[in-house]
This record gives sequence, structure tokens and C-alpha cells, in this order.
Amino acid sequence: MSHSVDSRRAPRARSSTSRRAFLAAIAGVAMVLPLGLALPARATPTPSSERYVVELRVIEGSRDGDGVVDAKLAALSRDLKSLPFKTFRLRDAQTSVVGEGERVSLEIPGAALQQKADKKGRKFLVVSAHGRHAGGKLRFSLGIEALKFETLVAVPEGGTIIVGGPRGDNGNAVLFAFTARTQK
Amino acid sequence: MTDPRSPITTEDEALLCALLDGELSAGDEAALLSRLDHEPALAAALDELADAIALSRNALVGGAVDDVGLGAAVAGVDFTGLAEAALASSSSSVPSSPEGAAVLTSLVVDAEATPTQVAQLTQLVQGPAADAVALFAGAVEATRAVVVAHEGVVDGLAAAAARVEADVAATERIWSLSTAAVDGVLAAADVDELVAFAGGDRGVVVQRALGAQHAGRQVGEALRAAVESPAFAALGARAGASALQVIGAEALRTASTQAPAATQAATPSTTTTLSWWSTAVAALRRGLVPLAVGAAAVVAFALVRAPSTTQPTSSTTSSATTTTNSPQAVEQAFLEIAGPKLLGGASSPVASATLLADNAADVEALDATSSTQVFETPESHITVIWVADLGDDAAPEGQGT
Repeated sequence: MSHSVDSRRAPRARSSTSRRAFLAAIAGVAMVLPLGLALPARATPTPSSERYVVELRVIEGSRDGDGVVDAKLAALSRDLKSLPFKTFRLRDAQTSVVGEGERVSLEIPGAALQQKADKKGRKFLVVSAHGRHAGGKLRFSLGIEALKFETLVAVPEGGTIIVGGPRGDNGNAVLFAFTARTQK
Repeated sequence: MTDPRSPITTEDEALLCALLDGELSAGDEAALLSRLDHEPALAAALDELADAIALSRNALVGGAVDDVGLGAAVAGVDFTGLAEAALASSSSSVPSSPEGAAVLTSLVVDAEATPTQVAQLTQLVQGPAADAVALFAGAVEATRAVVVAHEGVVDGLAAAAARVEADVAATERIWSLSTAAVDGVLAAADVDELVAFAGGDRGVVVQRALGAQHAGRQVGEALRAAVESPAFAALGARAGASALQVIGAEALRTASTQAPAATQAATPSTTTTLSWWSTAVAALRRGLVPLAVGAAAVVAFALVRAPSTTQPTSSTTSSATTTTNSPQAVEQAFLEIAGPKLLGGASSPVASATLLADNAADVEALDATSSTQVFETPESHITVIWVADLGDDAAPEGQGT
């Protein structure tokens, strides 16, 4: 007689087991998921004293002209020619040094942009250094207040990123070639 | 001072020596001769001093003179002032003093002495001053040896350090220029400098630097291409499927081993004896496999995600998606497997590998009031952010994302 009683209780036991397992699995996932999402992303250790040499080249691109790329832009010549312009001229170039967590403003030549300038008639590309990307690239935020434009980029060591589009004082397009490398 | 054992004073003895050397003035000589007539002790002292001087002269010119039978003839020679005369006869003006002897020694040591000066020094060495001259010559030689050795060592070390510093600086410069060259950002002046290096003694260093930079970029691109390729994704899917099969097989095996026990002792306490593993397997068998695998995948992604891939925008370049699980580990593994084939095989030279340069920047965030386009140039893969509406008529067509 007791055998029949045990036989009836066994399925109930398995059912209870599966329910506990299910609840345990759900609880585990619920605990682990936020933990994984909340964990800080791993970053490459960066020397706190690292400083970067940043260079801004203001380039004017024109669909007219003799199709010549400014000799000072020889390093970018092949890449510039892939853009829909015929002639490229270097309007201005300036270099500065910025440390991690610091900000530097690179002045854009007065008449290079049509957009309004600050109270003193100046326009800036504001560069903030944010250390290194996990892959070793250099992270900067670039902002041009006159264009209401800001971006966060990771540039390879010695690499260049181009921001283009706005029109200059003569109607031609203006391109900003931003280059960064670690200061030795 | 007076020697208590001597019957005469030191001053009288000096006067007697001066008398024998003929150095007294006429007045002093007359006074002394007068005293000698009245002072027997002073006369006796004069005789003793004269005998001592005679002995010294014999010792000075001694045996050599006697050997040739000239002893008697030389014995009568007055050697007074001989040293002064000898020194005065030298070609250079060497004073007749101990300092003069030192000068002679120095000249001989430096091999700059004339034969006459050598003879003078030889004469001094044969006399009572031999030890002093020898000591002086030894000291000069030792000093000169130390100076020469010191200067040689210091100069040698300084020269070696300068050479090492110059080599290190040149090598660092070459690597910097090579990096810029491979990145395509080499200025015209830098090109000339790199060409000068290549044509000089460090041409091999330039070749190695350029080759290493080029190969490194290509290997990196090969890694990126491999990780992003559909084949890699398919391989990952197959690995995941295999893992699920293993889990399923393990679940079946565990269930089969647990089943007899469950039927033999089907009591409430039976459930408490099940291991956590069998519980998990039982849960998996009841349909939690997809959920568990998905959760594990999400957790793994969150753990290994890179800090800069938090907000990949629609305009983010393809390189932004290459932040894969543990890129360093994957790259290392890839280098071990594919490196020799890419770099070492003659049948697949590095130069022929159709790989891309890693010049692309990652656009992690973009905030503009106007629409933007982000694309890479086809040549060096430089990332371009194009603010469209400000120069929309000039916006590139057919590019961007």
C-alpha cells in the first residue's frame, strides 16, 4: 500500500524540482545580466602624463580651378582627390599640444567660414583629449561652435580625420584635417 | 745649532766648508785663517773636513778613473762648481738645483732630453742623489701612466656613449618616419630625411622599419577581415552549436544515471540529493537552453566590450565594429597561425597581400544640428565626416553610410 502512495508522490517531487530549477535559472539570469551590463568596460592603461600633438589644417576645396592640390597637402593628396573637388588649397595650419583630460582651442582663420564667430570675431575648433581607445587609438572630442558641431573620435597614432562640408567666405567648401600623435 | 759631540759650532763648520770650496769673501777668509792660527780645534776640524771631501771626490769619480790609471791625476782636479758647469753647458737652460735635476729627469722620461742632458742625469744617478732621481722618475712615469689611462678610459667611454646615443636617436627617428610613411602622413621634409637615412649607413634599419610597419598593418587588417568575414561568423555559429550538442549529450548522460536512483527511492528526500548540475540540466531540458545561451552571450559581450563602442551611430565606420572579444588575444592567436604564412612564405610575399591600411578613425559619437555623412577615403581609408546641409551641393555622392 505504501508503494502506491510513493508512486503518486514521485511526479510531484519532479514537478517541484523543475519549478525550483526554473526559478533558479531565472534568478541567475536576472542577477548576472545587470552585473555584466554594469561592469565597466575594460580600458587600456594609459600613462596619466601622456600628451598629444594635434594639428589642424584648414583646406579649401573648389570644384573649379586648375585641379592642383597644394604642395603642402601632398600627404593627403590621394585622399583629397577622392572628394568631389578639383582644387585644394591649404588655408591655414597650426599645431598644438594637449594633455589627457585637457582642452585646447585651435583658431580657424577669420574668413574661412561663413558662420558667425564669437564676440571677438574668432572661430575655433575645440579639441579635448580623452586618452586612449582600447585598441590604442587616441580619443578626442572635436567641436566647432560656429557649426553647432561636435564629435567624439578615436584616431590612430599619427592618423588624420577630415571634417568637411561648410562653405567658406568665397563659397568654396572648407575641410578640417585633424591629425594627432603622441608626444615623444 | 751646535753638535754637542763636536768641538766647533755648526756656523764654524759652514765657514770651513765655504773656505774649502773657495766661496768665502776675502775678508771672511782672512778672519777665518786668523782664527785657525789661534784655535787648534778649529784647525783640526778643517783637516777632518778636507779629508772627508777628498774621500767624496774619490768615491764620485772612483773606480773608473782608477781602472784606467788616472786616479792620481784626477785626485788633484778641483771639482768645485762642476755640476753648475755641466748644467750650464746643456742646450736648454736647466737650473743647477734639485728642481733642475727634476727637469732633467722629466726630459729624459719624455724622451726629449739631449745627449748632454742624458749625460748629466747619468752623472747625477751615479752620485748620492741617485735615489731621489729614481724616485722622481718613477713618480713621473706612474703619474703619466695614470693620466694617460684615465684620459683614455674617459674619452673612450664618452665616445661610446655618444655613439650609442646617436644610434638610438637615429633608429627612433627612422621608426617614427617609417610609421608616418606607412600612414601616408609623411611631410615633404620628412620624406627627404627618410630617403637620406635609406641611402646612408642605416639603410638596413629603414628597410626593416618600413617592412615591419607595413607587415604589422597588413596583419592587423588581415585579422580584421578574418574576424568580420562570414566564414568567421559561420565558424562561431558552428562552435556554438557544438557546445549545445555537448550540453545536450551531457544532460542525457546525467539523466540516464540519475533515473534508476529516482525510481528506486522515490521519496521526497530524493530531490534534495540531486546535484546542482543535474538540476541545471533538468532545467535546460525543459526549454531554458535558448534563454541560458542568450544570457551567457549577453554577459560575455558586456564583459569584453570596448569602452568606445557604447553608441555606434548609423554613421559609424566599419572599423568601429571591429572591437571584438579580447582583440589582443585574438590578434595574438591570429599572428601565431597566419603570421608565418603572411611574412615568411616565399610563395605569398607580404607585398602581394591585398590588405588595407588601418588609418581609419572611429567616430564614437556625433552631434550636429544638420545631417552628416561618415565615410572613408578609398586610398588611405581616412575617415571623413561630412556636414551635409552646410555644403549640401558639394556633398559626396555614393559614399558614406
